[in-house]
Amino acid sequence: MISGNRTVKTILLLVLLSTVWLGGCAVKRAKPLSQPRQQALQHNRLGIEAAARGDRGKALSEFSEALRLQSSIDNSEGMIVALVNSARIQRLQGDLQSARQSVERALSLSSGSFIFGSELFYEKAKVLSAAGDLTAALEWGVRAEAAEQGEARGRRQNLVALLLLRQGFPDQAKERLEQALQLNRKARMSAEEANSQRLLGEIHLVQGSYDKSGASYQEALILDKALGLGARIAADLSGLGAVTARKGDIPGAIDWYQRSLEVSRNGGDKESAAATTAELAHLYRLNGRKAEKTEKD
Amino acid sequence: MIKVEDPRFRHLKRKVAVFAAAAIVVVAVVILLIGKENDLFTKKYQLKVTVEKGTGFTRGMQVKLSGFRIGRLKSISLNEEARVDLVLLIDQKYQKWIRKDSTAKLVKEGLVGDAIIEVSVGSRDIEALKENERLSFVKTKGLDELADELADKVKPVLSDVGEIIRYLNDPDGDIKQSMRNFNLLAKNLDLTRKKADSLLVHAEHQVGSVSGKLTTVLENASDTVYKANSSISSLEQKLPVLLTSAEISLKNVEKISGDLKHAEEALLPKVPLLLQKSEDALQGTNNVLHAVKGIWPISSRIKAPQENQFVPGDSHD
Repeated sequence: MISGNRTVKTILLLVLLSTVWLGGCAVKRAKPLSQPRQQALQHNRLGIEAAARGDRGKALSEFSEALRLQSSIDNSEGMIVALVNSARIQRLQGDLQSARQSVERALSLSSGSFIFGSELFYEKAKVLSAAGDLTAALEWGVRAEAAEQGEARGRRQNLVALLLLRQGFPDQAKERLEQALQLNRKARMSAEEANSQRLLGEIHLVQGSYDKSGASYQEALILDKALGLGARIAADLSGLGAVTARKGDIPGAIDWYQRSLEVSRNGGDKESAAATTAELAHLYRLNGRKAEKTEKD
Repeated sequence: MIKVEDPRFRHLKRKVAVFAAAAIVVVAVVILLIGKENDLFTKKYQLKVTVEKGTGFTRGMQVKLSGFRIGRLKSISLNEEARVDLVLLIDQKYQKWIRKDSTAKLVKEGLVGDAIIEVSVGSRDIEALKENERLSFVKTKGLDELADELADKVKPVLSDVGEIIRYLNDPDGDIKQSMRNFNLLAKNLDLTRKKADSLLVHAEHQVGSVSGKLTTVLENASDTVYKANSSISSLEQKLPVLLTSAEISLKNVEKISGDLKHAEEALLPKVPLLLQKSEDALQGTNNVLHAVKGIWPISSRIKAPQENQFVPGDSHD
């Protein structure tokens, strides 16, 4: 009996060992990539890191190297990624001509199959929007929205809503934004959620719903503060200033705009600081007239 | 007779049989999966390649077409003409791309990458190669050949530099002769100055009635000539020193060029060897890393890099 036990144990041990060994063999290994492709991915990653640090020159040179390597092995997908990333940095640098060339080259590479179509169409819409061609930008924005199957759908809808609002369709923009808000919340994309709220605040302000507008700007401000996005915080504060001014509280509005000006100045955003200063001058004039009128009365 | 039996071992044979059968099924499934993963069940065909020497070829090395693996090197053997016969095992589905004008060459994937056999795509209007037909091989240059080429290009340049220095240093050459002529000219200038002085004294006697202004002018001219004389004397003193310095400098340049030539002759033959050794070391490291990465469970922890990495784009930027 004892001998029988030992045999059974040995068989069980052998079966267990062979199962573990074969299981190890059956594990699907990551397919090794070729050397140039690995190097290209490395450059792409370094470019994204440089862009996050704000070093756009370095980012562009990394994407350019990634493009060269991907091109040397005729990898269209990798080339499209490098071109879209280059276009994004070129657009942010204000070099719209180069950005447009990069996007057009990426579109020609996708040749009907539209690999990474959503990112590609989105960048095309952003480049067209930056160049002032809002009609074409809206067309490509809608295509990007339709092509998006992942978490970025809320971001795509935000862009479409922004373009609709700039073209004078606040109702359609509002409808899109309400959907975008839900999607961005679900995907935990706080920056985009804040963008939805800020734009909703702007629409409510235009439509005269000052309380709703104020609430939306406040929501956007909380989210932007949590993310530490200075330029967006300044925009939220200016929005709250505009709402307060429309309600007739000029000193209150001046306080909001002063806060916004402080944020823009310290963040080095001269353009926004200048716009806020102009708005403040206008409010001080209104405040002076109001005081004069009160004195006369 | 009472038979004592542990209840845990009831139906033991059946249990063992079921367990063994399950293990056999698992083994069969795993073999099928591994076979599928390694293309064991795909149809293949053979092509032959003959090369001058077998250096760099290893059994099982990858055969690629347009960067994609299409097969492997099945065997290497020395033929009757002391050349090396290679047999490539290629997936049948790629046969249409390998035509009679296709070529094979031994290349490296990057500086330290694996050596692979790269097959070029043939012309559309030419027939595809069939089973056991011969594929032509194109030789690529090795590092030692490139180093020899470089040495051949540098040698004539160094030789030209030596030639120029010899020309500058030649006592009968244009440069040295010009220097001697310049020296002679300086000496003649002194003579001319003395003649001019005596001419001026003579002129002073002849033209005694000329106004004081003219005398002053002549005196000034005399001063100028005197200064010129002193300048020439100074130049006369300095010129030989300058010439000697130039000669020493030229000799030094010649010596340095000779030393450089010796150093180059001593070092150049070692360069290919050093390069080869470095390459071997890097190759070894690469192989070890590849091997470690391939060991389970490490291999399962290595994720395939993602292609779709984009810079985050804000909708309101």
